[in-house]
This record gives sequence, structure tokens and C-alpha cells, in this order.
Amino acid sequence: MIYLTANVDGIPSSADINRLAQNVPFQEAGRVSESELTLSRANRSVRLWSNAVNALAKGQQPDPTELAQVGYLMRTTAVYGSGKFGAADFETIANRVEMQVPFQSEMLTVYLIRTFVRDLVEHAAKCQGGENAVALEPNLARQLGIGNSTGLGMAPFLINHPVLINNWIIVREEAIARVRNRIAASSEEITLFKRLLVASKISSLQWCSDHDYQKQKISELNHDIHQLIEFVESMNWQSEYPWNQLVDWSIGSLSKEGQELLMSLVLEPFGEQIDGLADCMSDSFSASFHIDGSMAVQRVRELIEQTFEWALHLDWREKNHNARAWYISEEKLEPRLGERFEEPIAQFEQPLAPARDAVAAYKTLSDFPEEKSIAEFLMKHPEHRHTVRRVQLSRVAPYGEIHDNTIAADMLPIDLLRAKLSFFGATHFDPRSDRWVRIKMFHGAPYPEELNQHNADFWIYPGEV
Amino acid sequence: VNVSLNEVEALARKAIRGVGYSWGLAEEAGKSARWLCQYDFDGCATLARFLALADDGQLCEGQLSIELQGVQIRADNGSLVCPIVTGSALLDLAHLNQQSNAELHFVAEPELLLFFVSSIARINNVTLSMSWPCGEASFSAEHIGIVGELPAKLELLRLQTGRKCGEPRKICQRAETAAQSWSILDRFAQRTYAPSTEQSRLAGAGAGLSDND
Repeated sequence: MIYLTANVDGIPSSADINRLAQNVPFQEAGRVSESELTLSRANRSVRLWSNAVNALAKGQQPDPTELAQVGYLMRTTAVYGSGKFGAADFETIANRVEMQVPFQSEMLTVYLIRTFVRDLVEHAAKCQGGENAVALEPNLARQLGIGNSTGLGMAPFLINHPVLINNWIIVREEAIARVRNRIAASSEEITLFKRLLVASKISSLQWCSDHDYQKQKISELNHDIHQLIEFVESMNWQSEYPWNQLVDWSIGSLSKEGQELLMSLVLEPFGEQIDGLADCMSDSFSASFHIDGSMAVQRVRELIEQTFEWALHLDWREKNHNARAWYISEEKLEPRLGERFEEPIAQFEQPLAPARDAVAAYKTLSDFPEEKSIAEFLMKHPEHRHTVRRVQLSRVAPYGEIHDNTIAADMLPIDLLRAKLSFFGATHFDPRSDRWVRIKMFHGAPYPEELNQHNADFWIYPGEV
Repeated sequence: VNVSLNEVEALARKAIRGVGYSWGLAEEAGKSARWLCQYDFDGCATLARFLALADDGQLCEGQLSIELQGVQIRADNGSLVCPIVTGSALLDLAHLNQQSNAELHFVAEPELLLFFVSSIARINNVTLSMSWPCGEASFSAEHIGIVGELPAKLELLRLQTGRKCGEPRKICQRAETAAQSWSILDRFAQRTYAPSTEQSRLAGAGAGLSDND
């Protein structure tokens, strides 16, 4: 069973509801309008759903262990916004204070779907059990997040929005730097940090995956948390720059999983110092689209050297380095990843290999007089225009490029997906293949009627609400 | 049809790519079509006409010469100058000469140039005037105004610093266009999609494990 939703801007009229009823069920074939901010759909977790309805209908609570294993009753798939299928463009809501952080309307949609799912399961139980039916206990309900299945469609986004992605990373880097630069730690800060660290241990132990790649990472993380707890208890918090010491220690002692967890954890006690940075995460710098044609050819070459130094050393004639090609399939108009040398897809390739393209541009630039302007170069070589644009962006967006080969034979799309999903607060990342994943969102979060200033910040940690 | 500006930009970009333009120029064309719709032109209809010309091989890049008195852009014998190639070149040059002064001869679908001229005016923080035999337009960061209509082709178009003219152009958040124009864009965009194969369905999308459990 699939449920579809549209997040309407304002209160929908009955005409709106009729219009949506005629369009939304057709998914990608339907149209929404400028009154709608997002379009999404959700599938029930079949077995868990019927068990939950049956239990509630009989006046019992569903088995908490079973609920915890999956962690949600429904999974959303794509959450479309920003003008897709006729919805309102992001620009129409971008000036609203509550929408300035990217993806707020999409996140709100997912949060509201979670609430709707809880209401729906209770409604279904009531239809089945009549007066015997009971509501989900609030504690149990809160443990239900909303699932999400995400595939390749999300991966090109990271490459197509270098300034946006740069802003996300730079904000996080700045936040971490602010914490590392604090000369001392207060006892309140230390207490909160330790409490959340222990909660992270519980959260990590709840994290299951059948995918070997992820199983290994979860196991490393569990080991890291154990070590981290020991170190935190033994370190001298009275010495100068204790947070920095902690981070420095982690770089030599923990796996990447543990290091990344620690980076997030050290931010938690410092909401007042860093939360405002979230307003810098959107991409409002539209002028960066334009190419500065006055830049000398030599300067563009230097920028390529700075950003793609690692790629200049690869032998791009080797099949392994350009084994894949990203393309859009005629069938579902969705991005796919194919084998360049085995499928007839090369002529349909999307520009999603910035490193390979940068190396190609670099070589062509080498044959062009270095003092000439890039404007003159582009008149002769329009095929390098998208690359020159990206390379110039690196001046304002130093974190805009993925420093890896997006068409390599061994590239794992799930790594790209995880990078983006992590910014949405996704937990329990569970790859189902090398190119699609399941995650949880809002696991443990208060529902709208119980949400307040005291429980809004740390619900992602078990036991904090 | 009523579509979002993002839809216009995305489909325009693919359609231009579909007639053989480079990705970088396709990005410019997407912005150009979006700009037109935003300023209450039927950017999709203009682009649809342009695509037919481009696909028919009737456009050329244009011979561009930079002289003391400004930039001259001329078509090769008998063909028309491409507004996307020319507009992009002028925009690139914007950073080189503060006082833009250009003459364009035999331009196809000159409406598609408006985005580029408007961007040049913003970059150089000047008021730019674009004039042709029966009309005039002016562009600055604060004002965009047009007097008269732009025909499907122009023998001569002048670009220089000037004064503002015309009423401020209406700004739209949506694009309205005839279904026929939209389907022409869609038809050219289709050329960028790979035909479906069994391998693509299985491997390309990453199927395998069921998501229905």
C-alpha cells in the first residue's frame, strides 16, 4: 500500500483537496501547483503495520522489541520539492525566516507524515477493534521514526550543487573550529557531553544492517565509542583547550566513524555559539553562476591544480578510472549509473564526473597561450564551459567538490547518499545494495502536540525525551 | 501549461543539450529561458522556435571581433547568429570591458539574449541599453524595461550604456506556455535520455532487494 502526500502552503480549500486527489495518486505522472511545497509518498512496513493494528485493536500495545527492530511503520521514498512536478519553486519561500535553512519544507513534510502514520495506525485499530481499541502509548509511539528509502536520484544532487554543499560543510567546519578554540570546558558542558556520549552508545548498539560494508563500520563505531568513553573519563579536563585535545586524540585513535561521531557530539553543548550558523547553509549567491571571462588561462590551470590535484595524477585512459557513466533513463526519467564499456550509454552521459572533465580541460588549456583570457578560450572550447564554471566556483566554495572519482569502477554511490542524508539528521543508515539505502528519521522525536523548547534539542539521543 | 521556473530551467537545459550544445552552454540556455519566464515573456515558445532552428543547422556561432570601438558579432554567409553562444561570449567579456558596446548582425531569437544583457548590467553595475529598429530595452540592477517587441530575427542590434526606458517589467513566479511549446522542449530533451534496457533496469537503478517488506 502506498500513501501519497502533498504539503500545501497555507490552509487547503476543498477545491485544493479535490485537485490534489486527482493528481497526487498518479505520483510522478500527476501535477501539483504553486500552492504545494512538496510531494512525497510512503509505503507501509507490511508485516509490522498489521501486527501493530491487530494488537491495538485488541486493546494491547504492539511488541516493543519488534517495533524497535524496524523502528518505523512507514517509509517515505523521494520527497520532491523546489518546483518538481509543478510545486512551488524554492525561491518563492526562500525569504521566509523559517525556510531559510535548506530543505525545511521537505523536513517538515517528513515529520508530519510520521505524525499522520501514528494517527492512521490508531484509526485503523479503532475501525477494526471498535471500543476495544487503544491508542499507542506515547513512549512507544515516540520510538517510531519514519523510514526512508533513497536511491541513486540523490547522488547527482551533491555534484550539481557545489555551492550549497560547500556551505553545509563549511558551516560544520566552522562550528567544530569554534568548539576546538574554547580554552576551557565548564562542568555543565562536560556533564552534558558525557551523558550524550553514553546515549550514543545505546543508539549505536540499536543500529543494524545486513550489508557487510556497513556492518564493519558499525562494529568499528561500537569499538570506538568504548574507547572514547574510557578516554573521556581519564583525560584532564582542566588543561587548556580540552575539546581540541579530545579531537586531536581521536584522529590518531579512532576510525572515521568514531571521529565523525565525536565531531558531532562536541557541538552539542554549544547551541548558543553555533546554532546561528544554520542560516548560512543555503545558497543565495546566484552571481556565482557567471564565469569571470577576464581570468587568465594560467590562473584557471592553477585553480584546477588546487582543486583536482589528486585527479591530475590518474591515468584516465585506464578503464577502472572511467568504468561508469551516469545517465538518465528514458523509462523513469531517473538518474542511473551504468557500465560505460558494457552498455550503450556513453552518448547519454550526464556531466557528473567533474574530476575527469577538469583533467580534460587542464590538458586543453595547456595548449592555449597562458596569458589569454578564459573568455577567448571558451569561444574556441565550449565543451569545457561547465568545467571552467565549477573551477571558478572553487574560489568561493572550497568544499564544493568531492575529492574522489565519481565514475570509478569501485565507486560506491551509498557513500554519496550517506553524506547528504547525514545533514538531514538521518540515523541507522542501512545500505540495501551498493546504490540504495534505508534510513530512519525523527526516531525518538516528540510529536507536534508535545514538542516544546525543553525537548526539541536532544531527542535524537535515546533516553533524552 | 503552468509550470515552475525550475521546471523551465531543467527542461530547457536538457532540450538544448538534445540539439547538441555543450553542457556549459546548456546551463546558460536554461538560465536564459528561466529569466524570460520570470520577466513575463513566453520563454518556452521562444526556446521552442530556437530549438527548431538549431536542430535544422541554421545557426552559427558568429564571427566575433573585438575592436577599439567595441565588439562586433556577425553571422557567416546566410546563417544567423546563435543568441546562446553570443550571449555567453558577451557575458564572459563583461568582466573585461566595463563599457559594453556591441553590434550584433543577423541574430536569431534575440529574446534569448536578454538574460545575458541583464547579467552584464548587474556585473558592471551600469544601465545597459539594447536597441533595434522598432524597439528598445534597458537593464540595470533596479530596473528592467522594454519598449516594443523583439522579432524572431534581427538584422542589427546595438548594445551600449544608456538610460532606463519603459515600465518596470512584471516579475512572475510561474511560467505559462502553450502545451505545444512545452512538448517541443520535451521532445528535444528526450534525446538526452538513454533507452531502457534490461541491464539498466536491474543494475542501473540498484534494484535487487525488495523494498516491500
